[in-house]
Amino acid sequence: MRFAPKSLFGRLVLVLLAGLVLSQLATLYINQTERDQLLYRAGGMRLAQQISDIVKLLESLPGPERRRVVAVFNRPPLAVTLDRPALDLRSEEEDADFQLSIFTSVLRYALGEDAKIEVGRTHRPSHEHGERGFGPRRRFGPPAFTVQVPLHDGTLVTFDSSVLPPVGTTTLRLALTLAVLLATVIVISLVAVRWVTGPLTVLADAAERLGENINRPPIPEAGPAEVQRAARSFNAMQQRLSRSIAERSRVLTAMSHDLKTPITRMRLRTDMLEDDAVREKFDRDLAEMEQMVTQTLEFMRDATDTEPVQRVDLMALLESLQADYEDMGKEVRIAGRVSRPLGARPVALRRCVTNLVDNAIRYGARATIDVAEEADRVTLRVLDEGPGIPEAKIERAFEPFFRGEASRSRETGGFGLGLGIARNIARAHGGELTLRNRPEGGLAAILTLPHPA
Amino acid sequence: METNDHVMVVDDDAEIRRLLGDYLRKNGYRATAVADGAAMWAALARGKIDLIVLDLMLPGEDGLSLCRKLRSESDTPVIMLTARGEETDRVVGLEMGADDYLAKPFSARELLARVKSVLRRYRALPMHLRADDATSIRFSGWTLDVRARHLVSADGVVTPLSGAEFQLLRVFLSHPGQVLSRDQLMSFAKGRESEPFERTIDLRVSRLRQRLGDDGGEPRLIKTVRGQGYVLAAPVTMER
Repeated sequence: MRFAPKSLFGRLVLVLLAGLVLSQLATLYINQTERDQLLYRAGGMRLAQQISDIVKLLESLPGPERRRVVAVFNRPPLAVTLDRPALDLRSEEEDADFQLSIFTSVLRYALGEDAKIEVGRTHRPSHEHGERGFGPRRRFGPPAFTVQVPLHDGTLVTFDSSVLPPVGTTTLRLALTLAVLLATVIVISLVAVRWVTGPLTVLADAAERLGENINRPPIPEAGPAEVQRAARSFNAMQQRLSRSIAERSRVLTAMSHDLKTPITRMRLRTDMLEDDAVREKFDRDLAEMEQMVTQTLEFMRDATDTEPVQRVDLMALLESLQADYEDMGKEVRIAGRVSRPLGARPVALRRCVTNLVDNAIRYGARATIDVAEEADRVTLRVLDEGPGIPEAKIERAFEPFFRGEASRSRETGGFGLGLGIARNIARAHGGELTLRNRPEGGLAAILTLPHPA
Repeated sequence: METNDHVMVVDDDAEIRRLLGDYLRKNGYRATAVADGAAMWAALARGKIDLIVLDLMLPGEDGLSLCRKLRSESDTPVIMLTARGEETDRVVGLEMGADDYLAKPFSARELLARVKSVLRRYRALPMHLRADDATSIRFSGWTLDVRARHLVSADGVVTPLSGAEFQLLRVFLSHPGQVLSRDQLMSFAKGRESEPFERTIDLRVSRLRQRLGDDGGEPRLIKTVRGQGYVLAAPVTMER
């Protein structure tokens, strides 16, 4: 579960929980206050009544009898003794005690206004109170007082009302109640959040996958009104993007396509030239134009390619490439092996590797393809012995028609779209293509492809 | 240059027509250049044509359907000119019975080399790189995907082929059970891009056998016929 307040779920749970705990505490406070006041009144009244009854009884009895009677009454929660000296029960602090004064007046009412009673708080270890729970109980808990009443003959009767043993463990019950509520809130907020944010997740996934395929089917316009609106806007955006891209592709494709006829004418005308030096210059320019046109078309076609994924014998693919280059008089070396067939689009993958090998041969005369099979992927390193690319410009080599150095690209025609096409193919396979300068010199194009066992 | 072969160029672009005609004549060919299908049929009716260079995109009836019609009445080799240069178009061109194709933009020298090689091939082994409209060819557990130019094994694993291997295999598949001489095979197996780097036909055959998992010591698929050449010893099924 994500409790991080960063997630919508975390935030919602936090808000719901805070609200719940606050309202619970408030309710508890109100309930407890009322209950305690009620308890106090009932308990205080009863205690005062009991004390006055005992006092009246003792008054009517002779000395020895009193002890017997006191022994009978001396039971929790009320301790009755006859031998205690006069205690200084009044203190300044207790004068202000609202509870105490109420109790005192109740007692006076029961015993008669002129009774010389002394009432004070019973001092107990605080844990007895603590056990009973919260602050309000300390003030309004069942009365716990020490009362001294002188009888007519001067005997001092001392009453000690003690706190009753706690009835059940209120704290535990409280905790249990809270726990149940807490669990309920968490489950409910989980459901609520999933319900509310589910469509948002769909939206986020869709946005992510848009990068891989601009023509993916539109997302369902479901969920809360706000999310529906977002989904609608998203679908509209995708449509506009897709239309705009298609439009541009059409223009670019048509233009590249139509350039082929004039280039053909120029080539044919060039072939008629008698001056070899001039013809060669024309040839080079035309070859460059032709490369741009064919690569542009290839690039445009790439986006709409729908070749199915098949199991491919990667070694056969590399060896057949090697044979093709050999027929053209170019050297390609292969190192390493792959034992299992690779899930890939064979024609696209071949084009990808061909583009990398073409670059390697153009810059470094020959290419080495280093294959390594790992548990979950295959890594192909296409190595050349050329000059490499300045570190700062290495990522820009993927840009269309990037030229590393003016002097070199005049001879080689630059990278064209080859690397961009190769990277697109790698990514469409769920892989990646990166470039790295080799410490021993030359460039390494590193192609990783997923290869699950 | 003593050739007097008659080449016809069918292209709707007047400038290309003129340039190709001039270049072919300069290189010792007789050349006729026409703009469309109707003119092509007229020229064919007038006299013998040894080879036709046919543009794919033509006004009226297009190059593909012209080629198909042409093939139904004559054996005249055809080189298809395509502006698209995409693999499917190339293959479609071959399926329609063209002997070779050339993607625009091409140079006159490239076309000349193709004209020479197609004529030589045609004379060595009169057949067209055609597979009766097949898009896949089955033999001995393998399937050749003609469009993608790769083999698929019985258990579905794709085995890519080099250009030369593909060419050679198509020749064998077009003539199952027929002994093909090294010279006949050679005329097809020329490297497309560069003529000088020709490999011996034996090496190409052994490469192809290796691709097909055919034991070089005792091959069962492509057998050696001593003193004569090679033969594909497997039934072949063409599929659309």
